[in-house]
Amino acid sequence: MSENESKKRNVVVFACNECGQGAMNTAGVARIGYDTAIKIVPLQCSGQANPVLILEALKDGADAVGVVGCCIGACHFVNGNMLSMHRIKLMKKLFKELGYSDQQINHYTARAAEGETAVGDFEDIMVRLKRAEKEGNTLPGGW
Amino acid sequence: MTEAEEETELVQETEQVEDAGKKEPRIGVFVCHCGHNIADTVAVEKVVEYAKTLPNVVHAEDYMFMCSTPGIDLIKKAIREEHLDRTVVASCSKTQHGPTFARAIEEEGINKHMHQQVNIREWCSWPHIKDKDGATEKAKQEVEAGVNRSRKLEPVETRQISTTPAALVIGAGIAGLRAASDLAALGVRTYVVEKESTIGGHMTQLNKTFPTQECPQCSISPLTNGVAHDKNVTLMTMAQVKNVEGSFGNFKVDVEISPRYVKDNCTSCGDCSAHCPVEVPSEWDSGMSMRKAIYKAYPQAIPSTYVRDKKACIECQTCVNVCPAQAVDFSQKKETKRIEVGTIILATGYDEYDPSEISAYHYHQDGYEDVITQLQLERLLVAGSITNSQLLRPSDGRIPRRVTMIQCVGSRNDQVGNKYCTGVCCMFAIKNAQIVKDAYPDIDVAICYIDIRTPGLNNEEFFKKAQEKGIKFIRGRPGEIQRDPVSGQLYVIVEDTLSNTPLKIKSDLVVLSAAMVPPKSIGTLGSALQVLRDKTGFIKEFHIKMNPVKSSRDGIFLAGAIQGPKDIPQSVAQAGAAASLAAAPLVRGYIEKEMLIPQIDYDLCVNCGLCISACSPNAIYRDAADNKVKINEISCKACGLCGPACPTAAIQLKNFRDDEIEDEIAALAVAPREGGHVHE
Repeated sequence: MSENESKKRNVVVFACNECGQGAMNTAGVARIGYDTAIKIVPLQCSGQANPVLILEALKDGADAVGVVGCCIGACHFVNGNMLSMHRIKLMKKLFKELGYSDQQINHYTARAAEGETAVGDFEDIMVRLKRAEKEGNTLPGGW
Repeated sequence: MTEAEEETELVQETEQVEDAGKKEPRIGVFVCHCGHNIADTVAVEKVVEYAKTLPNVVHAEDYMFMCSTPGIDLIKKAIREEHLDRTVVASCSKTQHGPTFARAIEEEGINKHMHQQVNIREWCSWPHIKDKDGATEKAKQEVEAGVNRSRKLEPVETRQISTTPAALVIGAGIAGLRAASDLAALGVRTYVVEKESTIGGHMTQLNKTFPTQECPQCSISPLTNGVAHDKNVTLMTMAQVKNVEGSFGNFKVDVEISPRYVKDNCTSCGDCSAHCPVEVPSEWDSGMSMRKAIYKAYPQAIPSTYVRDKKACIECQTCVNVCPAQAVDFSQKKETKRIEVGTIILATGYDEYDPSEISAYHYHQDGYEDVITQLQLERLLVAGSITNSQLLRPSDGRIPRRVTMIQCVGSRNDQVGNKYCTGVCCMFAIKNAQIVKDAYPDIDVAICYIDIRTPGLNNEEFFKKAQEKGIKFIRGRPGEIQRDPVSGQLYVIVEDTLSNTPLKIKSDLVVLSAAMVPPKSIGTLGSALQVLRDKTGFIKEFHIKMNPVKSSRDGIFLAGAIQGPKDIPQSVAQAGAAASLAAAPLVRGYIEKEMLIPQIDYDLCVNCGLCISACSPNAIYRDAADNKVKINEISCKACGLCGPACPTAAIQLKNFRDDEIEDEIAALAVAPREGGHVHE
C-alpha cells in the first residue's frame, strides 16, 4: 500500500436534513461501505453550509469538504441546494485563482431512497482529493 | 412562612435562574451497543472511556439497547443523580430514536432540544464493518462532535398559536365539493371559491362514469346541492384568489369576485337568454353547442342565477327589458373581499390537453371537424345534448360508420405534450367505446393504444367486456390523421406493432384521448399561494409517498387532480384526507410550533435585506414601522438559508449557529485526542 493509500484522512461532509442525511442512512442500512475518512455534519439544508464553515473545516485540518443536498429541483426549502451549488462554484474559482486545487471542495446531490447516490458522492470526494494531493497544490491544513 | 422568609426565597429563586444562564453545562454521554449492530464493529467501551475525558462530560456509560425501557431508565437515573442538563446518545439515526430520547429527557423536566443524537450505526458501524479500528476512531470523533455541539444547545420553546376557525376551498369540482362538505360536517366555517359561474366542475360535463356506467350528475348532485345550501358554507362563484397573506393558522385571503350582472332575485325563467341575439360556443359543452351572451351553463346549474358574458355582449339591453324580475343589472362592479381562514385546500382540478399542438392530428383545422376529443364525445352522448344523445358527427350531422380512438394524446410523449401517463384515458376510452357500440352495434370502433392500463378493481373486467363486445384494439401510436382531399374521408395511419403491419384505418369520426394538464390559471394562483410546482406544472406534494395531501407550504393542502392526474374515486379520497388534515388544527383551536427560528443581532445587522431575498418561505420581512428586518416566527421553516446570506453574521439560526457548528467540525476535522478539541 502506498503512502497515499494508507494515510488517515478526515473529510467533513455537510449533509442536509432531508435527502443528504436520508441517503446516508439508507447507505448504512444497506451496509454499503465507504472510507472511514468521511465525517458527516448534519445541517438543516445544504444551503446552510456557509463558506465560513467550509473554510473553518479546512483550517481545522480537514483534508476535504463536501456538501450534499437534495437533487436539483427537489430541495425541501425551495432552492437551498441551488444556492449552495453556486456558492461552491464561486469558492472553487477563488481557490483556483489563489493557486490551490479546486478539488477539495465539492457540492453533491443525493436521493434519500438510494444509498448508492451518497456513497458515490463520498467516493468521488476521495478520488478528487487523492488526485489533488498527487498534484501537490492542496490547501495546507491548519493555515 | 414569614414575609422575610418569603422574600429570601424569592431572591434565591432569582439567583438560581441567573445561575442557570451561566451554569457550566453538565453533559451525559450514553453509547448504545444496538445488540451486535454497533458493538461488533465499534469498541464501545473505548468510546465511553474517551467520552469521559471530554470537558463538561460528567457521566458516560454504555448499554445493550439504549432505546429499551431499562436503557431509558438508565438515562433518567443519570439525569437525577448527576444533575445532567443535556444528553448525548450515540446510537442510531435521529429520525429513528432521536424522538424517543428527547421524550425521555422531557419527562425528567429538561427541554427536548437539549438532547443531541449521534448516529454511530448508519453512519459508522454499518458502512465500516470491515474496518473496526477505523470505525472506533470515527465513533470517538463523532461522539466528541456531539458533545461539542451539545455544549451550547439552548432550550427551544414550543408555542401554541391559535387558529382562525375557518377554511378556504379553492375550486368547486368534485374534489373541492367533497372537501367542503367534509369540513362543514366537522362544524368548520368553509369558504368555497370557484372561478366559473357554476359548481360541479368537469364531473358535471361527463356522460357516464366507468366502470359502472353511472350517471355523474346523479352522483354529484347531493354534493352540489348540499354544499350550496349548507349553513357552514359560503359559496363564491366567478371568484378568484388574488392575494394570500399570513401563515398557517391565520391566512388573510383577498378574493376578487367578478360581477354576474344578474341579481340574486333571478327566477331562472330564461326569458333573457331566449331574447338575446348573440351566440357564442359554449365552454361548458366543449364547443359542441352554442350559448347566448346571457346564459346559464346548463339547466341544472348551481347557482341557478343567469350570468352575462360581458365580452360577448353587444349591450343591446334586450335582456334588461324582458326580465320580469328586473334582475339584470349592467352596473354591477368587480369587488374584492378579504376573508380570514386558518387553512386552505387547493382543488382547482385539471384542464383537458389541447391537441392542436400535435400538428399531425390536425385538431381544430378546417376539414378536420370530425377530429374531436373524448370530452367532446361525452358532450355529444350526454342526456339532453344538442344531438339529443345521438352520435352525429360534427361535419355533416350523419351517424359515423367507423369510429377510431387515439390514446395517449399529450401523454407519454417525449416530443410533444407530456411525459407522464394520465392514467384514466384508457378507462374513459373503453367506456365511451362501449357506449357507442351498445347504442350502435353496426359502428366499427377501434382504439389505437400503446399500452392498455386498467389497474384497480373491476377495471380489467371492464376492458375484457369491451373486447367481448367486438371493439378492436390496435397496438400502435398513430403517426398521422390523413384526409382525402376529394372525398374528405379521414384515415388514421398507424402501424400495428403486434403484427408489424402498417394500417390505414378509414374513419368517419376520430376521437382523441387527450391528457389531463394543469389548469391555465394555476401559474398566478400558485405564486399567490407560494406553493411549489412540479416540472409538469401540477402542484407538488410535500412527500410523494408519506404526505401526498400536504403542499410544500404549511397550512395548504391538495385535493384532486391539481396534484397530478387522477380519476374520480382517487380525487374524492384525497379530498377527504385533505379535509381532515385541514380541519384538525381548526377544530383543536391551535397549532404547535417549535420556535427553532433565527435570531437577529441588531448591533451587527446592517439592514441590507439580503436575508429577505434568501428566505424561501418568505418568513423574513422589513417592518414598515421601524424599517428593521424582522422574522415571521410562524412562517419560518428553520432551514437556515438566511445565515450564509448575511454579510455580518448577524442572523443566526438557533441551535445551528456558526460557532456551534464550528465546534462540531473541530472534533471531526482531526484525529481524536484525549481531552478533546475545544475551540477558543
